[in-house]
Amino acid sequence: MRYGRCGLVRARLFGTMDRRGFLVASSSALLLGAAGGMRSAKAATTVTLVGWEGYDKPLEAYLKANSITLDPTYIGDSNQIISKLTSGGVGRVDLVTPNVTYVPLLVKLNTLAAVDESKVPNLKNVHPFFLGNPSIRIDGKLYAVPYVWGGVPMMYDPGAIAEPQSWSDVLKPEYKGKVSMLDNLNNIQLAARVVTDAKVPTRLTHQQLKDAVDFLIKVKGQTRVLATSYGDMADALARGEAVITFNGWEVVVKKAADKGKKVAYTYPKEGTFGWMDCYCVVRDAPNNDVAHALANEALSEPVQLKAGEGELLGILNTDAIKKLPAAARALYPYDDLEGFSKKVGFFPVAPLKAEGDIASFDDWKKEYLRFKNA
Amino acid sequence: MSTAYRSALLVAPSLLIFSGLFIAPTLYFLLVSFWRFESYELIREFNLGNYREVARDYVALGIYTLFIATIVSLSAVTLGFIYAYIARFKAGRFGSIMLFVALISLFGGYLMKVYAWRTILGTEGIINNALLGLGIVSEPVTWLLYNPPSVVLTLTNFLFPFAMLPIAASMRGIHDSELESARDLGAPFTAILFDHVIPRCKTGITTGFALCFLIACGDWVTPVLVGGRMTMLGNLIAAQFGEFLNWPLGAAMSFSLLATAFLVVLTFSQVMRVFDWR
Repeated sequence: MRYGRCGLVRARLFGTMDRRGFLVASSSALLLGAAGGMRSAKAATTVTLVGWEGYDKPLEAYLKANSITLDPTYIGDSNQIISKLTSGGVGRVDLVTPNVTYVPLLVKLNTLAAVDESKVPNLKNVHPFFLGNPSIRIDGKLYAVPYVWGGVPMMYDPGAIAEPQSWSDVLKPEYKGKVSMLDNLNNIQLAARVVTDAKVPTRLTHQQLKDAVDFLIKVKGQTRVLATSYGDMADALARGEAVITFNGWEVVVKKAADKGKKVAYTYPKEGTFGWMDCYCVVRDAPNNDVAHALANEALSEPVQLKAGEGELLGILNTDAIKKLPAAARALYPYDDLEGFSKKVGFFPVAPLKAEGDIASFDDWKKEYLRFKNA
Repeated sequence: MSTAYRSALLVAPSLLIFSGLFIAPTLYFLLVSFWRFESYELIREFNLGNYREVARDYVALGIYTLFIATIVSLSAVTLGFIYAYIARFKAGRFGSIMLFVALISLFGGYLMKVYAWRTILGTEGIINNALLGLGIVSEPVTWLLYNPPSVVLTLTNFLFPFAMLPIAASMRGIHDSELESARDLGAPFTAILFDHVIPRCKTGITTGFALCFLIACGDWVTPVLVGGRMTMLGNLIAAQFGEFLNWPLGAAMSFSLLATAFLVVLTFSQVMRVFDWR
């Protein structure tokens, strides 16, 4: 997750990448590869992390106090974690911070180590709602330590329109040219909820996948511009160029408010998807113990407070949630997580290979390219 | 040490750097373009599948990209020629300052220019503020931004020095007395321009066009920031190397674009040969 110095550059990308992100990621990939050979010569307390920019910031004090040097490679998408680990990262990288929806895939690819829960005592402070996510525990073993979370609501301008009810409201003729849409592959999940009867929006047949992308192309026709980041989206809402969005993030409310615009969000009746980024220890991590210690520290109250207040992320330490300032607390539905769970799903990404008529993740990417090309 | 041996030794470092940093990666990606990517795995089996996919799905987008790049390059070359002509023949001692100003604009940075145009053309930009202030419109005009013309405008502005500088370099070889003689002999301005100046600047014009065209073809940031829903092939190439990690398809798209771009540049240089007979 990144929360740039110049405002909300790219808070949560879910599959898109800006130019800077691309450059950082590609340079980091090269550096990671080049540094690989030197890894053994480094001190034992140099921990290699592949994850979202900004997640390491709340850990700075702990790193300094324990003389741990972090060697980070920042990503623009959880896909890049898979790429790094499957192309020589296992055995070199210690920690990764994927979205929980990618964890089953990472486990299937044999890239993650099971977490030794005795080394992560702070797990006891995690709200049960997040610990109950089925993707973090596979075959009884814990593979992911939840860190931060958020949902993907529909943003709207309450001064201009009534609260929308459905994702398909963006197709209303009166919103032509007033829709902001994030360029993001996971929009397929949202579209699938509208135009298909799939129970799990990441397990779509080829026809359902095609229908979902056809719907996205129609939505694209309603927009003037595709947002490259949630910052862009907040700007468009603040300027009045958009009154309704397809995809969103709770924090856009705060960013628009900073620009003097009141924006609201809703979880449409079809439901939406959520994200929960986790600390995962990589298989054969050179610094397994320190990696566990960092994952544990990420759940500590001070670190969680910094993540919630400073980085505006959804946090999950119950004590820290209680101490959050009102403004940061108001951003997420902390008081109604049960209601949140009924509207928001954390579905594992599409299968690695096609399963019968169920489309694979590669099929999703090909179809999404059709959307980009439309 | 023989002269040939010494020359080879002197060239060797440049050749090594060029080979290592340009030729080797290019050849590697050419090889990759014949492989395939499946389930996060690079399958090193030679096949033409990626090129077939490009031919099947992306020809229209490729043509559109070449079209936009052609308009941008022709605009930049035309403006660059006019600017260089004024700097060389009309501005006197201010000519050098004009060239310096154009050159210094390169230091402004690419993204800064794109964002500047976004600000200028946006609903809260200078143009809209002026229109509102003068009472010409009652609410901001939205069609100035997020469309293909705004991409052409932004890229032309960015590429202008790349077109102008080679032309200006060519014009330095034209002596004032040549034009004065032509005028003294009664040649009209158009004859001087088409029979003398342009033929003498042919190399500079072709170089400027090629530089602008190749950069515009591969650009993907400008369409994202000022093009609205507009997509150029560069956007899909960037997506393949970024979010989709499908390097083989991305490489196939890149080499297909590169090959057609070279064809266009070659065609342009052939078209410029019409000035040869003059």
